[in-house]
Amino acid sequence: MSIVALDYLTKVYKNGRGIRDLSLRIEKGQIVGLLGPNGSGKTTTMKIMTGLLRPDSGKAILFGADPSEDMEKAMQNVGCLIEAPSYYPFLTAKQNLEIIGKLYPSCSLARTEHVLDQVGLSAYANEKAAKFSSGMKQRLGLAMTLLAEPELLILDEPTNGLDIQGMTDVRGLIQDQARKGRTVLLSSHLAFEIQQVCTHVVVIQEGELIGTAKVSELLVEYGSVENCYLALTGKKKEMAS
Amino acid sequence: MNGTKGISVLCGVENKKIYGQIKYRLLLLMVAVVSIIGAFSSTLPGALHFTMENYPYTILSMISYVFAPLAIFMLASDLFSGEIEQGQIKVILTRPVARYKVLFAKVLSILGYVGTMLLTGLTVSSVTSIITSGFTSFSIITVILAYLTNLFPLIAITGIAVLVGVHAKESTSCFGLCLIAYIGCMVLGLVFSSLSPLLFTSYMGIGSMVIGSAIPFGSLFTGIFILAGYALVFFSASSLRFENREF
Repeated sequence: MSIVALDYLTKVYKNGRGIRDLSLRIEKGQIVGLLGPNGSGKTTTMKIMTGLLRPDSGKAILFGADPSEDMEKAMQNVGCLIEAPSYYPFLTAKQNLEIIGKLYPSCSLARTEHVLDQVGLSAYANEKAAKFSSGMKQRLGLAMTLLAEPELLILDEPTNGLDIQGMTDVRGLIQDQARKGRTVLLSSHLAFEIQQVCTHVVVIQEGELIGTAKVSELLVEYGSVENCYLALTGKKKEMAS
Repeated sequence: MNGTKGISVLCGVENKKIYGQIKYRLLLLMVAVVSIIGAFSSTLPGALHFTMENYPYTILSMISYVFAPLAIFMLASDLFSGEIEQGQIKVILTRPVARYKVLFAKVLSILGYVGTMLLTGLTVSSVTSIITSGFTSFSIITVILAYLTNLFPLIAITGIAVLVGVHAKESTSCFGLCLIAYIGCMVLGLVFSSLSPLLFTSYMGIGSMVIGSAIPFGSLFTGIFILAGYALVFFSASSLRFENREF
């Protein structure tokens, strides 16, 4: 059974943007990259998957449960970072993690320290998050996502706001999670990032899924994810004209 | 996390957020300091004078009309619209917890804070009153009963504040709207006296009904039922909105 099953998901905003009839399956151990330009519907898809938005029609099933109906079951093994990192600015990095840790009975203090170390924030554990740079905030958001050792990671542009070293670290972290058998869905508008990190790519444009492929296979056919993306989106534009 | 355990854990999370902010610790401290200053100023010639037999009730009125509503409006602004505005609500809403539990925990935490404020006022005013005028000045049982009874209007106010909080997009607009609703109801009650029995603000001093030898049980229970009705309506509407709101 697929870990994630999206069936004909549709969510259209008042301005006409959103997603239409988006269907997708994600299997255990895959690192799936959701590739598309800004406003293509990547975040909307992820928000529906995490119960922050309700679809107009269609279903999102995570671990056999629909987050809009059974959040507790659907999100039990999910860690997510949607849009900007969410944290409490008046608390320290450690306190932020401790708060989240309370929601997971298996989460220990040692785990909090380990995760802070993993994202390179150990030295700033007792500093208030409000004083963090945008890169550090992103790292804190990632730490909060990884804290409960989730089986599925949903990461919306996780390298946003990070410097080159930070980006490299985060990509390494994602690959490390995949080596541990975890499943990752990450969105990006950077084709090379998807190529570097992902096993599968899903191209989305103007709210519609226009192609899915194994990265290794499309590298043989197109040479790069970018070429594949341009070929797919170009084809769509041709069809439209 | 199952049922009550989940809610108690979430309450712990909300309490950590509340007491992690210096303004809420200061507000409690302010209640204690004002209670102490009020008691001791009464012993000074020419200063503001309070009757020590009624001092815990004076402090109760001050908390019920000013400090507690202020705290409730601030908390609703921070825990609901503020978190929605800044995206912090996602920290909890993307975890394996049902939304109704999140709402319930936030409401309980606000009420918990108000309870702590009342307890602070009760303790400090009683102790200072005993220090300044001795043990026989008032009945502690009646004082406790008055403080407990005055929780009802504060629950109704919490209901309104939460309802505004789940609708408002910004914490400042939430706080402003709560304040306008509160002051508006007070003014409405004063201007149109026939409306007064229907307004929750008319029951802000309901605790004073338990003072004295003959307790007006009829009026007391009528007031409590009206306030419970207000709370039920506001919390139900808040729950409906919070369950269906998109973030």
